[in-house]
Amino acid sequence: MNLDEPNSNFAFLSVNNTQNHTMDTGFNLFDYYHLTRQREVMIAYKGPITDVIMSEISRDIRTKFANVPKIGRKIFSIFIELAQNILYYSAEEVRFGDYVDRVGGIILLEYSDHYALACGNLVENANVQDLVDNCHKINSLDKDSLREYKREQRIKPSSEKSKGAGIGLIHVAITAESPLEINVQELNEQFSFFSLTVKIYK
Amino acid sequence: MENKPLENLEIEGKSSTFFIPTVSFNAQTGYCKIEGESYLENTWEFYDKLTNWLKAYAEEKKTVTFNFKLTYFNTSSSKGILDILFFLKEYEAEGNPVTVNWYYPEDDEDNLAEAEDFIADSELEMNLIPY
Repeated sequence: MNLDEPNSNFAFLSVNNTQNHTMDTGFNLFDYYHLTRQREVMIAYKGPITDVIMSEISRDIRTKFANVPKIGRKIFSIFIELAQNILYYSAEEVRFGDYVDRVGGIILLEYSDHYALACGNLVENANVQDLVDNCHKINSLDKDSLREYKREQRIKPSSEKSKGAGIGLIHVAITAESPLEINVQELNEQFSFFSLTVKIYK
Repeated sequence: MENKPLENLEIEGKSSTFFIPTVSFNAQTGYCKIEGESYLENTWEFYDKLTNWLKAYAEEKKTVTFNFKLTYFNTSSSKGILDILFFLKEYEAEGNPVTVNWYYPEDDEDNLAEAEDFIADSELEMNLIPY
């Protein structure tokens, strides 16, 4: 197979013929489209997370959940905290001229009895253990202890690295009323892909 | 040196890329209100402005009636809100009259739980008022 097959750019349009038109040298939009075309996917975004993108997605969440405001409020609030974590802390950056944006992915899925909000981004390997430990600690606490933990952390002076109150993940677990499901894939000696999913029951 | 009288603090709420709550602090009556949604570009700067106004107002040892009616605030804003409550608690402990009302949508238990946690943290009494 010729890797430089010129038609490979049209792999997305050649569904019946993908064998001959697999895109080996570029981005396979079909794979991306295929993954996100499942019925469960309500929102899928991967790319630079900016204030404007966050604002647009948050508005979309409000619109979609207008009929179930209680769940809508929870998902809105969880979304903001998770997206802000990417905005502030993702280890992957893209530059457009003078702008530096941080990159991540966010996906909202609907299942029969719950919604799932998942986010993922690159993390420096050196920071993975603290992040994982914090998630495990959060998952080990019941709702009252979580509220106490959140208060304890909120009252602490902000660390220099922290751009927020440092309690986003605790808030996410309290609001979702379910554990933080985490997954870490080490990519190389410097970075890992960290993903976090929370379920919000209907 | 002449003291300039404290002016009212008015901030018009806006919901665009960020969510700015409506702020109305009255320098004559001490009636203060923050209402709407709080998710800000520069959270510390915004809440420092509110706390600094209260500190200036407190110079005169007058009554404060503070009303919170926030339907959404992110965790960073919650830290700013707590700073206001810490200051009001201190002002009250010095013997000044302080009333704090926290309004919350009656079906929003998360909002009520946040208010309860603010009371626990600040040790400041708040009237929790569903609407």
